[in-house]
Amino acid sequence: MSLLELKKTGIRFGGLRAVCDLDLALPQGALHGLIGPNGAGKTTVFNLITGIYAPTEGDILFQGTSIVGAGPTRIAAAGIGRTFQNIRLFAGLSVLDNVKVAFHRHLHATLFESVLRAPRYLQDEARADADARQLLDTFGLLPMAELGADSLPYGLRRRLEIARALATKPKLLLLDEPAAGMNPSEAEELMHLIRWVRETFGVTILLIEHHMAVVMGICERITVLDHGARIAEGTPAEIRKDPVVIEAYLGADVHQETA
Amino acid sequence: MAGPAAPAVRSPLLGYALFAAAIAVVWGIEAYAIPWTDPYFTGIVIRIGMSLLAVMGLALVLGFTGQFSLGHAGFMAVGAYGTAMVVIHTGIHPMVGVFLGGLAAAFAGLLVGLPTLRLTGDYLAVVTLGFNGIILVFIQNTPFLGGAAGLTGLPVVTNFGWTFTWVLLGALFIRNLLNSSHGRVFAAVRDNEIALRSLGVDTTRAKVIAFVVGAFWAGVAGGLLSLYRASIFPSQFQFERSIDILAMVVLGGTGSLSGPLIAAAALTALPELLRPIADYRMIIYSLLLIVTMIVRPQGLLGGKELIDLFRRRPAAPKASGGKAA
Amino acid sequence: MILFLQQLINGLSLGAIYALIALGYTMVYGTLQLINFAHGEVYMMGAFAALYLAKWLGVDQNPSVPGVIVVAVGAMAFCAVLGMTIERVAYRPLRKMSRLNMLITAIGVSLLLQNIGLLAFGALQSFPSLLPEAKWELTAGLVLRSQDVQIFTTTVALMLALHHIVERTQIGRAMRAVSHSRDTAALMGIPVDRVVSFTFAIGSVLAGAAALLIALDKHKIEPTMGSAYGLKAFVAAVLGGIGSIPGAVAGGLLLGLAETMVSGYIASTWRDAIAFILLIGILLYKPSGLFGKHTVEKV
Repeated sequence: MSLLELKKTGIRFGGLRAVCDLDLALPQGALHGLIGPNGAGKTTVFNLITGIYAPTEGDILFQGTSIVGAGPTRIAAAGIGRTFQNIRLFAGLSVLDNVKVAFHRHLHATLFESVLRAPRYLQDEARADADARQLLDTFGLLPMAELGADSLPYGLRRRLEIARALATKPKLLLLDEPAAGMNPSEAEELMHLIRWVRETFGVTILLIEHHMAVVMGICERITVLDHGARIAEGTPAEIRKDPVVIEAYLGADVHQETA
Repeated sequence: MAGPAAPAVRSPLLGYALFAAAIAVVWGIEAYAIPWTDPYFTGIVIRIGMSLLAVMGLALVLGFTGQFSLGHAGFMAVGAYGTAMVVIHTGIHPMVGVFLGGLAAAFAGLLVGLPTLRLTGDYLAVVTLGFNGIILVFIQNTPFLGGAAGLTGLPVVTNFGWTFTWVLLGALFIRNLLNSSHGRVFAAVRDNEIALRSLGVDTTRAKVIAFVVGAFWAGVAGGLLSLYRASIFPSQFQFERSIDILAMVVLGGTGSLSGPLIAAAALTALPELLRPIADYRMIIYSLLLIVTMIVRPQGLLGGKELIDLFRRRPAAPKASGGKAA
Repeated sequence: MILFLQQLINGLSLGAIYALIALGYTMVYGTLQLINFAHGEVYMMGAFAALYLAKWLGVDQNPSVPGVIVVAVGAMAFCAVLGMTIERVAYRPLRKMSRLNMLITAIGVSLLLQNIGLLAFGALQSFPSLLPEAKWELTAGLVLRSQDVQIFTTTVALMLALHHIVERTQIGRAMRAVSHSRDTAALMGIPVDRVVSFTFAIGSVLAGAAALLIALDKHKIEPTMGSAYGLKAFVAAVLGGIGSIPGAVAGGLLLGLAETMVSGYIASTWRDAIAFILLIGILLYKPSGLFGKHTVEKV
């Protein structure tokens, strides 16, 4: 059974079909790439999966059950984590607290236990603190734990956003252009990080990326979108040779897309 | 790493002891200092205490959670009339009445917040403003609540001791709430609601919690007010009062608790001390608001607490007043 | 039935005023996503500008149609300048900051103008009759006043003019572009600052017209009339769907009718509550308002 399955999924904004008839199946443990020219509807697919938009057509199944209409909070709680194209950290919180927020759902203390500093609250806090520090440590962010999240350099913010998404213990992780704005060596480092995340945390990953070296380098399968529809799916080698894909990318500006 | 990391969670015992000591000091002052103090001065101090309670609730809602509530005086009205009704119609201790008045305001907060806080944008501002209006129309049209003429003949119970017992309780409650997982979630709501939802946190629930807690403490402030001068009137809870409280929070600094409390004390005391300019009070307020927003949008202590100013190492930031919300 | 028809006339008359003021809220919200709390005060200042202008020109002593037109144009121009000044001085420096900051500034400006009004104009002032007034009894008990006719005709004329400006002129196209996306409009070479300024001017002109109409109808003006009418008009804009021009008109008329029907059939003391009851109802049922587009948050 697939972990995530999109069946003929589509959405219209007014007259515009942003995504149509999209079929996509991710087996457990997959590392799948989603590529396509600008405006192809890639981020819209993420927003459909995470419930920010509700599809107007088709169905989305996660672990065999439909998640259509469940809303972002419940979908996230069901085990789908994500990062955002324009990094969305909690700028006013410290690096440590950015991760701790993600544990909120798993804490047991009631509001009054928190206010009264009851033993259960103290246990919760101690555990959240320890878990968050451990997670930051594995991402090499522990030395910056007390800094404000907005004071981190760009590359580390991406890293923190991934760490924060993993703190919710997702089964599926959606990464929206994690290599955006990175130079080749940073992108290289990111590739290793993504592979390592999959192995260490046992998550299935769906990745949107313009950086072709990254996508081709780590994804097992790739889906290509253009104008909201799937135009190809296959292994990186197949995609590279696919005339339809080449056409779509030559139609757009190849240099801009891969730079 | 330089030195051992500070323990993540401190034992609450020291805090409890300090709190008990503070309560003892308050009642010590009530017993030994107040009888020798000019009642006019004591009155100002008590009014400051009531402002503090109202302001700490709004600081939570607006300053920390970023939800724009414009009807805080409406919740004070619910607390005041709730307390008055309990005290008039039952024989229980008036301070239990204040607590029940606070609960009534919290319930009103739930009714207003549940439908509204699902929505994003400025709807909360409009609805809370409207709620402030409706509640006054309701009171003015209800003979049981005294109508426009107000309620008179209430017992005078609010003194320095009780007021500041409530202030300490409120400050402890809100401070501890902010320094807990809930506090982190409130700040995250303010910073980025979409990201918070992507972590599986129910943002509507978080906003409702902040809103209801804020309403409760406004209700307590109203309850104390109803037992302060033996009478209450709907006109004490008009939109202008909500703006007063708002001004205190904003001038004190969003994302700070001590800042708004300082502003509340100053802005409550100033008009009393500067009687001659009473006519210009609202003009000074409004100019202060505009100039502060343009020159220092984060307010007096935006994102910081008073104690941070005395620390050598700056604490991790907690808020950002001027950031795009 | 007569009561219903009478309240219908009263309601449409009141609703037209709300609609004129609501347009200013909705257009500013469309371009800046700001609840311009000061808009009600612009309306109030318009009424006093009309009063002092009428006295200065002596129109109150020798009422004449050209005189009234001069007073109207003067009051509307005053409002336009006031609205543009507020935008320039108080809002523009904050445009890059959070909406909370701008909203608080708007409240500050509103309070400032209202309290300046209280100091400068005192409380209530009576407004002279500048036009001949008549009452026509349509059937027994059903009265149509000349003021109602003034309000209807002026409102319809202004709406047609507004429609023409927004749909048919270059500046109107620019306004629509800015309200669609300020950043894109700026990239397309649209002078955003000038368009925003113009939006404030148009909204303020309509508020000035509403102020004169209401002053000629009620013959009483006061510095607090801005917050009373302004708040209701804002509710009307939200009812109709904030940002939508037809929505503001529909919301204004709906609110005016609802208020007069409540006064007619229930009790006038409950009149002020109906606006907010309608508001909460519509937010529960259709948060984007009657004519509002459902907006999708960009992620």
